[in-house]
Amino acid sequence: MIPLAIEAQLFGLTGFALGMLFAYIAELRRRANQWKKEI
Amino acid sequence: MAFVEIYWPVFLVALIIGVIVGYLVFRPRQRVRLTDSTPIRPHMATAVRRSGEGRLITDEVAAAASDVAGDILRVRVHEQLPGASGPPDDLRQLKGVGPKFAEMLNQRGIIRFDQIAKLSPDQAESLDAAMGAFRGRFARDRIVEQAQFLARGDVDGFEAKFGSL
Repeated sequence: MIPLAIEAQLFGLTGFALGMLFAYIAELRRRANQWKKEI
Repeated sequence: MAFVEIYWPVFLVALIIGVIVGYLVFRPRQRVRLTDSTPIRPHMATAVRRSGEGRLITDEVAAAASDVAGDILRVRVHEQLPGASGPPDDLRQLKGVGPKFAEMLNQRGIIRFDQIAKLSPDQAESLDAAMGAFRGRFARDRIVEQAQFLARGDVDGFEAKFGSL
């Protein structure tokens, strides 16, 4: 059984990773749109 | 799943921090694009080089030799694109010409509508062949025809045929 405090940290870390992923995907989409506009 | 109920604010805060940090890491920064050719700025329009030939005496001799050789072989050895005769036009006004395509045309010394309008079918074809990803646009979008309208300043005729500017 993982202690509750560690669980909370893992939980937080997962949220952080997801946030980074969202930002990355958003930037990729923005670049793809810009590229399409240039062409 | 009891801890989810207890720690959801932790997750939420971490998610927000993640998005902010992600934005800071992946945000667009100033980019430098390196190209082989110098971009043509409006004030440089009159100085656009019409061909890649040099101007030294050896280049002149080489050009003369290829002229004679071309005459004998009956092939065109020099670019015969009509030169610019005034301030540059915005080539993007032509339907089917975007910023990239206009830049490619500019790099080949084409900056005015009348230059395109004066192209012979042969010249338009050879220019089209050099347009890489945009190959075929000249015929598809009738760019020479469009340019003839705009070179004359016949906006009404242009709009009647190709839609509003």
